[in-house]
Amino acid sequence: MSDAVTLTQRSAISRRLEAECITPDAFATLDEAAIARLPLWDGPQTVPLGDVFQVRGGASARVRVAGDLGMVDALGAGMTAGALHIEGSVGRYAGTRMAGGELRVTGDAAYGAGLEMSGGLLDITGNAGDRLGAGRLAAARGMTGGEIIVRGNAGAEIGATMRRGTVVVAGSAGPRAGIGMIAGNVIVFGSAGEDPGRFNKRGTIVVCGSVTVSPTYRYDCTYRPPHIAVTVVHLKTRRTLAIDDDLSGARFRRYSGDMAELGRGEILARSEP
Amino acid sequence: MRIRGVAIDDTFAEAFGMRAARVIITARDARWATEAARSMTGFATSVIACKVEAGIERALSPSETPDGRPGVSVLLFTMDSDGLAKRLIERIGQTVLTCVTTACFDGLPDAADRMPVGRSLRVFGDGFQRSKVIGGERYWRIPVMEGEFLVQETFGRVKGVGGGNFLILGESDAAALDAAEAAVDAMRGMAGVVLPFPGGIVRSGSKVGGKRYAAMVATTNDAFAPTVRSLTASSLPNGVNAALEIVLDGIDEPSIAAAMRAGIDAACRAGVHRISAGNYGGKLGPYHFHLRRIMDASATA
Repeated sequence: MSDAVTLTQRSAISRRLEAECITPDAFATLDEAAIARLPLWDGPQTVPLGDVFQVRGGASARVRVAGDLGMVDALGAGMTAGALHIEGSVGRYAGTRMAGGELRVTGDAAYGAGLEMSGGLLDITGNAGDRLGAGRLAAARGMTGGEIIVRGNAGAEIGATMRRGTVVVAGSAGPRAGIGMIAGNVIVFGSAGEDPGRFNKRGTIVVCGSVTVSPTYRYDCTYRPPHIAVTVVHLKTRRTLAIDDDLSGARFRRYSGDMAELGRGEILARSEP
Repeated sequence: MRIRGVAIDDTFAEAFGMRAARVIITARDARWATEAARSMTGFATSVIACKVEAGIERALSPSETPDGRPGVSVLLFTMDSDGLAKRLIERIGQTVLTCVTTACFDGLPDAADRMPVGRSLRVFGDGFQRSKVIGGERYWRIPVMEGEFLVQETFGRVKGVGGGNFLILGESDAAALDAAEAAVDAMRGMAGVVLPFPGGIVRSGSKVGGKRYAAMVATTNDAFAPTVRSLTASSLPNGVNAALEIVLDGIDEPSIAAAMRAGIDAACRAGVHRISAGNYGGKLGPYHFHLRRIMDASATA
């Protein structure tokens, strides 16, 4: 048993690999040799993890992975506990279906990070790709719990069909944020791309930068939503997110929608810069 | 034992178990947080008739509150678990929900025993309420004419201690009150303790039951009432013409003991003859705060 398991990339990865086996859950009960034998999927074939990464340590739920992992998909998929810290960028589906624990990515995350996650924390220092915290295409539900923090920007359709949980983007988000949201929170500190909240049932979309609200939403009032102040304190103190101090007392324009759906969702658009 | 010439009786304050909750009220500024807190803690001096004992614990700076606004911490105590939940729902619903700019949070987040306070109050929203989970805690957003009232879904409930007390026996009413005020000033703001009576001071200390009126739950503590000294078995020594009581409720024994120590020390001043305490021979409550043991640290010959 060691304090942590460390994986160090041996050489540049040119083919896309699926690494669902790289989770604190799996490593917690395996020694160094067993971890090195775990399979990474290269198309229809597998390669031993030890061929791609140098493995140090074993039997620990604290995992550190270093390297340029942009071609490695599904890191931390389905993890339920422990801490997975990736020093670098990751490929698609990082933290997909994760139910607990902490997955931290110091670089960027590609398409589908946190897809259908149900719990835990996914913290991405760089940018995130499309369908962050969403569901698979045509899936009934996206994210159903947990918290995603993106300290950079995010792509299109973040939080699509999400049912619960919170997606926070410190920068700006691409088009169609929160499309088909059932409930939950999408918070964008920058600007939101076109058409946010389409087919939103009960979800909350908060945008602090510029946003164009769909005509299928109706303006209610301009006010200070008290839960935003609690969210700001939470993100500053527990997530160490740098947030404008004025945000706690800021006023937001509240729009109810999408009236094409239940109309119980909302877009809160910051009124004062 | 004497402290600055004031005798400390060899007796103890007898306290009993209660159920306690801590409520954090925040508002746009300290004025409105305090208004709500005062309203919430009104008519909450004794469970004998008020069903709840409550008081302001201390003011909170913005850095201490869940929403980064000025706040006030309130402690409430009841004799039973169910009663505490009812009193919170009543009092938050009538005095905090109604007060402009306020929000209401649980101040005992580590308590495993939870009361569904916000979950009950949410129905005031008549179906327009919304819940939000932030940092693992669920809150209810209830629409009101000013905007929204935010209240936490559940509040913690812990075993507390009620009825900590000490008596200040003065040579005059003025001397006793000056000492009591000094004691209150020393105790106010101490963590985990509230003084539920007006200004923190009680002039109408009571005994259990009555000698003449059998139906009475409590009647005047004639043993410490100077005007009937010659008519009853008085506990007042010669030279004492007024007695005042300080009553404390706390979330645990150490909090009460610390506050009693500070209060008694402050009350030991000119014009005070003795410090005593109320008890029922150890038959009523399991918590005994022995004055001399509490004051050992600050005693002087």
